[in-house]
Amino acid sequence: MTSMTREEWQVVGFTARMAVLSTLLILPFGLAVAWCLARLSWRGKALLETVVTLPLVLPPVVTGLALLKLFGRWGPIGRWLYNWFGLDVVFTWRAVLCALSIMSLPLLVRAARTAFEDVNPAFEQIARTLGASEWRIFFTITLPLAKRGVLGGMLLAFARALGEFGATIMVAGNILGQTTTISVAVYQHVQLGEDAHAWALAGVSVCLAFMAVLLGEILLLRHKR
Amino acid sequence: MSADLHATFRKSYPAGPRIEVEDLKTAGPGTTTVLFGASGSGKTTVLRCLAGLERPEQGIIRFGDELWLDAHSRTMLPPQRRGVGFVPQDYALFPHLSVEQNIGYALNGKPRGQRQDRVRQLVEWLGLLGLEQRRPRELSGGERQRVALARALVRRPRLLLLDEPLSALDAPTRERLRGDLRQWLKALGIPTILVTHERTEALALGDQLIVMDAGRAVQQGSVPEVFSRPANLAVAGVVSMETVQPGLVLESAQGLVTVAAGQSKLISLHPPLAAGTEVYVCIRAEDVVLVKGDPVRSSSRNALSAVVTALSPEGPVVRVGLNCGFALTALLTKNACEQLGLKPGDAVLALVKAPQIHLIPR
Repeated sequence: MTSMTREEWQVVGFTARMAVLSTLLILPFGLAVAWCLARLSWRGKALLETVVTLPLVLPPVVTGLALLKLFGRWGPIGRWLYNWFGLDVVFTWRAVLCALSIMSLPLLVRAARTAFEDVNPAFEQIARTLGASEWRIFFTITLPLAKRGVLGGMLLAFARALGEFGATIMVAGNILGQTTTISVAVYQHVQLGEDAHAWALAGVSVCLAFMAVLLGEILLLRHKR
Repeated sequence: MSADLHATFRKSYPAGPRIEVEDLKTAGPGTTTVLFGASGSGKTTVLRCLAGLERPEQGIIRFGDELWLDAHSRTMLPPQRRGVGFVPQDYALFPHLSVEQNIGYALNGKPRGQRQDRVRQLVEWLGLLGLEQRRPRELSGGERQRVALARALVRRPRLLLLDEPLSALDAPTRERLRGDLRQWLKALGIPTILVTHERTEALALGDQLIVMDAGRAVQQGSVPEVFSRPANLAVAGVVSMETVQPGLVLESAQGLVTVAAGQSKLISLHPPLAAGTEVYVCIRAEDVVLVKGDPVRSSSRNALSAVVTALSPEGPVVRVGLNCGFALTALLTKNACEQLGLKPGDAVLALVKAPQIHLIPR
């Protein structure tokens, strides 16, 4: 087994950072959507459900293509970002973050929604009679009681982000040191016949995933107590 | 300063029951209004509407001069601002918080010292000392009930709503807490509305009674009044205890308790009660035997001289109204009634065996 090059370690670090960042980025929005789906009902609720789930069932490359068109310098969002903030998204680390977020959002939302639905509404109602605001109820009752499910969802989202390939390569490309993630690097090594490098990276990604799941289990156990 | 609740509303469910309440009124500080009825009669829904957790589609709920609900003008005060203490049937204690945190939950925003003092006060009052750090699942049923009560009282609510407060408890605990609960509710100085399907609980805890049947509040009045003079057959069926008379314990000896009720002395088979205890004396109409003519020797411990006041036939039976110093109802078969030749004004002897005189301490 060849030892990992500096560039490869850089790729690993970058991927892990992006995965953590995207999980944290989608957390507020994902929890808000999950809560709405679990606790409210309105006309067109099914539409939101579908839109949020879509990245889970679409071919990732198709999601990537859509992001490419949306965030490109001539796309509706990309143009706006460029004109107002001078920000380029496509083929930068921002595109990686964007792809990972969109791809892992459904997993977080689905897990958190189930977790919120499992919280007996009687607790929230009692809190209301005790004068607590809806915000306070969410943070002191609903979220703590749903934390196992929410943590599980975050873990899934993180794992999904670690391994994302299709959408990332479409919207962020493969620019070593800037947008290359583990999955993309492994693919490229195999393409170039550098199997040893591919294996090394694969090993590292297994370790990362293993540690993430283990950490999650430990956190859950401690909360269960 | 305490005010009373006054509510008239209707709440219906698309594929379910329709709950109607008319002129529900609490009876002032320290009193308990019992919502009494079989399970499924809509009692809990009424409480939830009063707490603001359900929205009736029609009606008005007022508390003092405050408007809580006016369906017509689409006014609805959220539960947060009603100042109501609500204890649901399963208590719904927050499972992830300690006893102390559960009780103090509503005191968020108050200075720490003040919060601790208030929690401490309730912990002492309700006998929860030493349990402050426990989680709800580490408590017994009776302890949970008291924690739920403390949590509901911590903000000094203006109205207390209790949903079957004793039904989740085992029988001995229930007996014990029933007496305590009565004392606590009296001491609070705010009106309480309590839901129950247990006759004993209704009698022991209620100052006034509202009978619910199939979603409707069918009768409201003082406890003896509703039991003795049910407004209709539905109420009679729900209460199924025709005579309820306030009495005073005179003495307890050899497993028997002597009670003064009206001008009569009654003997009941009941565990000892302290002399001077206020009780309700309850007698079912079918347990009363009527004797006419010469004095008899009978095994019955209670023989009351009575005058027939009314006879109302109900199919194969006749309901006989009697005055024996208090109003007593007897249920006889038509045959028996004819053989005795009963008519209003007749003097009779009403016999009731000691085990059939039910006492409910107040």
